[in-house]
Amino acid sequence: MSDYLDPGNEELLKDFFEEAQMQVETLEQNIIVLENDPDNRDSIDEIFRAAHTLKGGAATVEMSELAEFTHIIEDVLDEIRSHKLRVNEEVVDILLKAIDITRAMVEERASGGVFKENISGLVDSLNALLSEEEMQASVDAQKKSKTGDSPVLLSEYEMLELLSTAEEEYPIYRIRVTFNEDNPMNTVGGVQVYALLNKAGKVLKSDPEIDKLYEDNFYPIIDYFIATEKTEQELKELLNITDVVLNSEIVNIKKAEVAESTTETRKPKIEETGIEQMAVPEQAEIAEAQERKSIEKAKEKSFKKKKASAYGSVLRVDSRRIDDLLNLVSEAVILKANFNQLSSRFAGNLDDLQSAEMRYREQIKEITDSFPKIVEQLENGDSFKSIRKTFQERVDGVYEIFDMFSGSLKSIVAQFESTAQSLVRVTGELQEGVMKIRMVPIAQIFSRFPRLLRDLTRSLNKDINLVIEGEDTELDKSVIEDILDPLIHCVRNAIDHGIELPDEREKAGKDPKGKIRLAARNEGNMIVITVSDDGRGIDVESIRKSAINLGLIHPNKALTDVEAFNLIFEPGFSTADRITNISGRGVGLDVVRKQLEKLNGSVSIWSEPGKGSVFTIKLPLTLAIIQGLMVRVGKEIYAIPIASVIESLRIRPSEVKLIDHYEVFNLRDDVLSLLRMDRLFKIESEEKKPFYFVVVVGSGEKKVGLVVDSLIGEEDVVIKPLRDQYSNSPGIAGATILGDGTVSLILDVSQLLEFGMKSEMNRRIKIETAIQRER
Amino acid sequence: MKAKSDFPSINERQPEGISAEGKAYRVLIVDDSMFVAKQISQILTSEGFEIVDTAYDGEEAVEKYKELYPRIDLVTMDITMPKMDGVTSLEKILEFDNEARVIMISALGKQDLVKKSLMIGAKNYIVKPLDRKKVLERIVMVLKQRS
Repeated sequence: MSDYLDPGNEELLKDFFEEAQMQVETLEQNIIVLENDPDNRDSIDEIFRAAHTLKGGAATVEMSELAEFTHIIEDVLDEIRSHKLRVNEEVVDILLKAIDITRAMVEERASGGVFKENISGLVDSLNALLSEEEMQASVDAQKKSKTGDSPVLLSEYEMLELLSTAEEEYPIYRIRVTFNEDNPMNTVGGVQVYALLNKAGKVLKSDPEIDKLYEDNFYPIIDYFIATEKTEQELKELLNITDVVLNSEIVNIKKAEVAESTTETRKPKIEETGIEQMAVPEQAEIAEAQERKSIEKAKEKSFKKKKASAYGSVLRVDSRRIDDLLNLVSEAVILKANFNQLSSRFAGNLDDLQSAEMRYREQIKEITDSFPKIVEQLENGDSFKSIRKTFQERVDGVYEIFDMFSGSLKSIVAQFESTAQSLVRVTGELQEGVMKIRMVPIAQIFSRFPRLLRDLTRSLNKDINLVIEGEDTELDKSVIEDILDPLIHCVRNAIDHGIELPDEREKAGKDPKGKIRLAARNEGNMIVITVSDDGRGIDVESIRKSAINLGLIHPNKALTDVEAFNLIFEPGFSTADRITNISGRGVGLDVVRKQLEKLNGSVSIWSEPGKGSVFTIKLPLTLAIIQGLMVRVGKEIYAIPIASVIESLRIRPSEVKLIDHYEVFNLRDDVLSLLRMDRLFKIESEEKKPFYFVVVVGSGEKKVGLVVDSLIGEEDVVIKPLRDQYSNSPGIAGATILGDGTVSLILDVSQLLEFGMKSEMNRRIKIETAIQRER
Repeated sequence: MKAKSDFPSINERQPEGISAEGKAYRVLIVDDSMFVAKQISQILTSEGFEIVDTAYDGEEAVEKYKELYPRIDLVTMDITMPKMDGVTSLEKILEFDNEARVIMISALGKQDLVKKSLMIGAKNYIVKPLDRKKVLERIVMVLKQRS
């Protein structure tokens, strides 16, 4: 590796991997765009740029297999760009395959290995795309660039003509520059020197001509004729370009020297051609050897187990967002100063209070001490009125002691309130700002769907148009990574089950080209993603039948449409008659629901037979902070994620009925079972109460009433994960710290449902065995 | 992690990035690849250059150049970039400041564009993959030419 790219330079490598992954994605997306719109210049340029950057990066970090492979891809792309190769399905197939390999190579490298699978077949088909003509042309060009045209000699006449065109005042030099062929861009040198010289003076002529220099050929020797005021020494220094120029000869050719120079040029020409001829076979040999080596490398087939990526995930953040945060932080710092000031004012206030209290005690003491005197005065026959007056004056003095204190306290409290208000605002904005940092546009995952659609429609012989909307909608990075799978599942489902075959669609009087819409939008602090299709929709009747066959519902149960739709999220459910490798095995939609619930999200479906169906996925914007309903059980306070709370109500103990030893109650025309939180978590609480508070929670069709001691209210809670020995506690999703510093546990509703059912079952079994024993 | 050569002893020689007047040369890096930009920046800062800013496309480069001017000594310019390519950006920068010192950064296979840039007025070019020695050599050469 290069000296600055030692293995320890992980930061740079991390950047490379991140960028490489982005380039691969750009490639993939744009190739699909290109398939539908082969003349999209932007996409072509974008693809080309991505492949090019990837190649450059790979070469720098010395991942030769990656650099070589992307080089071939780049060649093919160049063909497309120059319109020598038409983009058709076959080309796109091969390119996509190549991109998959590229991605695998990058991933393998990222996990510390080297990609070693045999890819010679793919390389061959890529090479086959390069039209034969072009191959020939490139070979020719190579040959040409290696040999180069030796400088043509100037005739005496030409030389004289040249001299006459030159301005008289400056000397004219002939500069013969020998170029270094080993320079990686050896064909550029000619132009570089031309540009340099043209700045130093006026280049009258070059041999070969400048137009020739522009072509991609290497000339080992180029003659320049320049009129300049610069001295030979200055020119020599100017041309001292390492790697590019090997040698420069400068001859002043003004007038008399013409003849000499012409003869001089002749000799080196022969020498040069000799050298060149020798150089050709040598180069070819090296190239051959390299080829052999690379094929061997490709054939070396050893599968290495994938390690987890050695590099953590990197988040790219718009610098403006950081600046905003910085602003808020500086505000917070000012607030801190305010609070410091407030606390010293409070301390001063406390001193005031203490001294006031002392004075108060003193005066009270004085008043009490003055009682004998008052009695004496009374006995002396002083009027009651005057005694009362002096007494009143003294008592009034006692009241005044606190006036100053309460005045300053009032102003401090007012200031405290306004500072606390600002703190609320700043922390709120800070929270939002930090959250925004973690926000990434959903385009990151939406962009993968065109490829998915393409692969699936082709294997299913369907014709589907994908519409993507709202790809700028942002959501938390941790959420985005976890919703990809469920989303893919929904889209697959729509492609496989939703959209009909083209002839079926035509029969139904629809456009033979199906349409799937993938849209995202914000709704409050939730993000809503919908996957809609214009396919055959969901047949409620067949769901019903399947559900009855599978024993999921009782044959007599009346089923509303929504309930029927939700049945397809039940484990093991499938109405598909045949199983394709895309979907239809009945594993899936229940997994989708489970996964989304893990993210505190939900999924629902709506459908109209013959017109299509819509999957709606709702997700919280972030996982770090949730809205919780705070409830009290005994002395403990629990938070229930608001997303899974359906409603809360108050029932009388008499409304609780027993069915099969289950405690249940009627909620409108539904029967819900009750779970007593105190029993579940073995918390002692006072049993006798006039009312039970019931929080109805549920996910999907499962609903249950949680019996709690009281409802406290809604609050934003910050989730702190449980660690180590507590991480397996069923029914608990995490913990949070309340305003007063106490710890409250956050309930995991879906787990709680299962756990509650299980513990209820166990209790029932125990009771039953006890009853049997008694008999 | 830095190699030993990244900490040149002051007794032996002056770091390349410090001009004769003892000031650090100020460089603007233009590259759409964060990876390459960082790499250049690592090489240059190790020699005492000051990286004043980084632009990720041609348009941004022109804007930043105008903002920084005249407190800027050198621009490294990638050729293939989104929005505005390096050659166009070079033209715009030269339009604004005829004396601008711009070095093109190019991958192999872009000879035609490198030639075009040199004719327009780029001072030199560097070929990717970047090599520390060459990068420094060429940049220093360009900086010396004027002074």
